[in-house]
Amino acid sequence: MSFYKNHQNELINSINLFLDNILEINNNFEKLIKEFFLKNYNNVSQITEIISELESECDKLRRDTERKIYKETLIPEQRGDVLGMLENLDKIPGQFQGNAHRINTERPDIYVELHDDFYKLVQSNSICVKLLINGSREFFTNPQKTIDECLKVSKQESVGDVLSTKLKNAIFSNKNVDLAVKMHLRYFVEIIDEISNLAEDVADRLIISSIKN
Amino acid sequence: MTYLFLGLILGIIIGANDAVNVFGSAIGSKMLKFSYAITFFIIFVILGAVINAEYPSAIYKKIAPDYFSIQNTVLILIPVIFTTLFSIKLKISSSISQSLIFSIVGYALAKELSIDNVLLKQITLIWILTPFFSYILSIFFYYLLKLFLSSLHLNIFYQDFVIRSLLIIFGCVAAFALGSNLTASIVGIFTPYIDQSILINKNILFFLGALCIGLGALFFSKKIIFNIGSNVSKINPVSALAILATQILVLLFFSSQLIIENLNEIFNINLFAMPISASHVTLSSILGIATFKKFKETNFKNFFMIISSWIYLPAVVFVISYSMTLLFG
Repeated sequence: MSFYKNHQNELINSINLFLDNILEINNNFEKLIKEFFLKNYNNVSQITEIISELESECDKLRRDTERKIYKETLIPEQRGDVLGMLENLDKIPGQFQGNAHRINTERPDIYVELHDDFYKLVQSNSICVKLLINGSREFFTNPQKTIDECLKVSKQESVGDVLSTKLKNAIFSNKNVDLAVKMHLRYFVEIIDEISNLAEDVADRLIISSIKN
Repeated sequence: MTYLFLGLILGIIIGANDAVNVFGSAIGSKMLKFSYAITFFIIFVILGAVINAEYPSAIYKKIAPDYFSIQNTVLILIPVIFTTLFSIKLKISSSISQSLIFSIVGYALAKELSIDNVLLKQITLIWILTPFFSYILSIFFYYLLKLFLSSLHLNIFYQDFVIRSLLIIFGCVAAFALGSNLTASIVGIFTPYIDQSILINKNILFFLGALCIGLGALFFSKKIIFNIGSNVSKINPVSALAILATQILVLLFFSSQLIIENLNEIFNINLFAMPISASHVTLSSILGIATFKKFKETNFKNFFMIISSWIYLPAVVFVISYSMTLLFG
């Protein structure tokens, strides 16, 4: 009677683990930035490894969950929304992983005056991701709460935009830095800010799905 | 034995035609796989036939009291088989019980046999009223189920599990109710001859009838199952549950001796058991739910095509049966 096996617990656990992993990656990325500013490159390298492992686990969990939902023809009404949510959410750990590897490999020359704002940008992204994860968890039980949390993601993303613009202004107004360094730093501002852009995209889709359901 | 053979063929055709009424909505809403649904359908149709088909089948004996010879049942069955096949070709689920009654009436008129007009009027009235009741009931059940499910505050995966479980349970009960109704339609026509011209145990005859329905459902119902619900209005899992709940109530109401006798006693009325058209109940329920959803995603063209078949199919059966009886009877 495989068709009547209770897959619900298994799926809920997988999705929760997937979301927990994203949060853990998010926290690790904050740590990574702190360690990078302290020039503890060994720790940066270790944290990058941890982020990579968690990212791979996220991929595996997403694939398993998607396969199970399709194979057992579960939640036919919300299937597309849930799969879309998982696929879009999975872009966030990928972005974190990429950012971590780039910081670990390229070691951008972020001078001390920028540390505070860079860290604020990372923290702003972190808040965005946390809000999104809360909203995603609520999607399965309380769509209204999802909408509320996702609206907060959009607001927080705007905070990130302000910070990244401020950082770019500071970088390009500094006359003591080469243009190559400026371009390199701008690139890092953009890839770090990309996290909250991705979070906002997922949040927008979640709002639509929640209204629909 | 041609008449029995035709009866069994009719059983297979009925299976193809009517399986949609039980699990069509569940399959259409992608909550149940065809193979599982048909397995449940076969088991419970047989149970319904063996346990409960005798009571509603009595109506066929009453409609033309003078009745006819068993050889002439061929003249009644052929028009029904023809029109049902025609409706399957059009991907429309037709009412077998209605076709049979109109075929009997056509035959009886051509043979100048007496017809119980009072009974015929009562049956026609119930046929007209059933879709209206089903329409209202389906809205009520849809609202009730929505309220029930939202009050549980379940995770969507648990909700899916609950709906799936209810669809199986409701589907099995509906198949049981339909088993009584459908088998009554096939075997009912032979009931006056059981133990006289047909030397088969009554229960075996009901079992054979139900088995043919199951085989028809297994081999020929897939196409029509994917047509009826989705072509009229989009069916979601909760709608499928409401449709099944309506079917169970209406079909069991008109096939259960216990319910009818108690109601007659309590309200001092003269209700009687009769096979009800599951197709009419299903379509009316789909329309009820479409109304609840303000007719979003409703295909009115298909809807009117099916509704019009409720009128012209009995007329076609009547004309064929009447003409055939005049020519060959």
